Amino acid sequence: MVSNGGRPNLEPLEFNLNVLEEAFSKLKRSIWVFHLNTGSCNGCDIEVLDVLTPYFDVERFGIKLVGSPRHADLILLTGPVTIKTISKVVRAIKAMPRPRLVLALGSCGVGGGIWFNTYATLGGYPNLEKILKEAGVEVDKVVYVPGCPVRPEAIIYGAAVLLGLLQPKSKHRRVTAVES
Amino acid sequence: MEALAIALLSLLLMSILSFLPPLLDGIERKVRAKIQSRIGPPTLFQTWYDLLKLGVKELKIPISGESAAFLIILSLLVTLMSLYAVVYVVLTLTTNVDLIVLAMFLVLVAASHSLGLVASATTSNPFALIGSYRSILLTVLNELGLVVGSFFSILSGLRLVTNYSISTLIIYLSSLAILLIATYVSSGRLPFDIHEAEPELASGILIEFSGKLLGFYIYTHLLMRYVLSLLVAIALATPFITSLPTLLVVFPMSLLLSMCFYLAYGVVAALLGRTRVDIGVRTLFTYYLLVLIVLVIFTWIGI
Repeated sequence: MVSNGGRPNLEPLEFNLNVLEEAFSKLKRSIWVFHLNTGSCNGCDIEVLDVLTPYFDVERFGIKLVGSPRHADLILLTGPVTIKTISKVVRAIKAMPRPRLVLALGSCGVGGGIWFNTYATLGGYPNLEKILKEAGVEVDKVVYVPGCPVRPEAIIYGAAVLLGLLQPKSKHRRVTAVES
Repeated sequence: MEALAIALLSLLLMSILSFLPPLLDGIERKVRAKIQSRIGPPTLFQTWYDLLKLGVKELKIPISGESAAFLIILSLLVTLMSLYAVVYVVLTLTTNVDLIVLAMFLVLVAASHSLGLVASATTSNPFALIGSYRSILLTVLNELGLVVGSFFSILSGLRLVTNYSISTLIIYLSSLAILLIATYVSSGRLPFDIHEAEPELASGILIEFSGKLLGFYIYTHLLMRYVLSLLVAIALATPFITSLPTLLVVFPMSLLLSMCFYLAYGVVAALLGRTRVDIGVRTLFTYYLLVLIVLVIFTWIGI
């Protein structure tokens, strides 16, 4: 138990590997998602909403949209992570109970898109991951789903890859941009 | 020996009935999906899978919400007690309706609702508190309907058996209408699903709960939904109390009737649209006022 400004802090609880494995096995049948926009153009967000409509009906895979990160197992992250949103994004991901999963959606979520090196954005999830590590926020699994905007079928496929139900279709190699 | 047999039978019945509500919720989700031209959850046990998943998730205690865990567990225990009370009423239905047990049942239902609401008000999240206050207002108004509806419907139903009159029949039907509205609202379905609707506005009473805590809260809520469906089944069976066959027929029939009500409420919820959350209380008050006027007039005529 750690003291937190005089108040006894009951969290974080130790989440050992065995519990994590068990939790992953349970997640395969029921996964609750939270939609987190980190400053996207709304193209991917419309596709995320598309996934949740009766046409694609992700409830048939046990996927359900929730309104609070406390209830979520998976964050659908869209946008290149603008500087203004960093603190809110970190708090939202930290609010999730473990195991925490992230699906980085769209070109912006994957690597910043056309805003990969601007002054106003972080350049997608990979750079956010470094900040999360510095803040001591552990993310258990990440899958990148590229596309501009990302296709609804790709989002569903990405969720299946994340849960280990399917294999990824391609492998990625991260490159660093060279400033001229 | 007889006491032991009754205890074992009660334990068996309670185990079966405790397992039932999440399964009924799974069926309701499947029916709702069918109405909306979807496939819906992969299995009827989906709600059970959701609850089991919540059981292995990390428990994050909200700031100043340490007492929430205790209150939610207490609420679950009180709900289980109310289930036992209502099962006792069903088991003795062929002889008479025990009004003392019925009164105790209503106190337990009110206690379960209050504990859940107090648990939601323990967090320091101001948005969760806004949702809690809305929910408290709705629950306080609805408890009135629940008490009036259940007592009047069962008492007038018993009176119909011995002394049939048109005014008693109207009292019975209007109080049954109140009971139907009250149980529907208590079940937290559209448009009275404040605890579920408000997380979408980031101000619901559930917003800070996670893991096992959320799982217990959801399970308690589903159990309460079923308990109230069983109460409606009892109120419907009361006027036919003398012509009821043996317990072996009455008990399964009551369970079947309660399941039908549970699913019928789900179908009604799927057909209704979501309104503004603050309109819920006003709409409910108007409904109650109209039916209560009818009830008071005919009770006065009956006297």
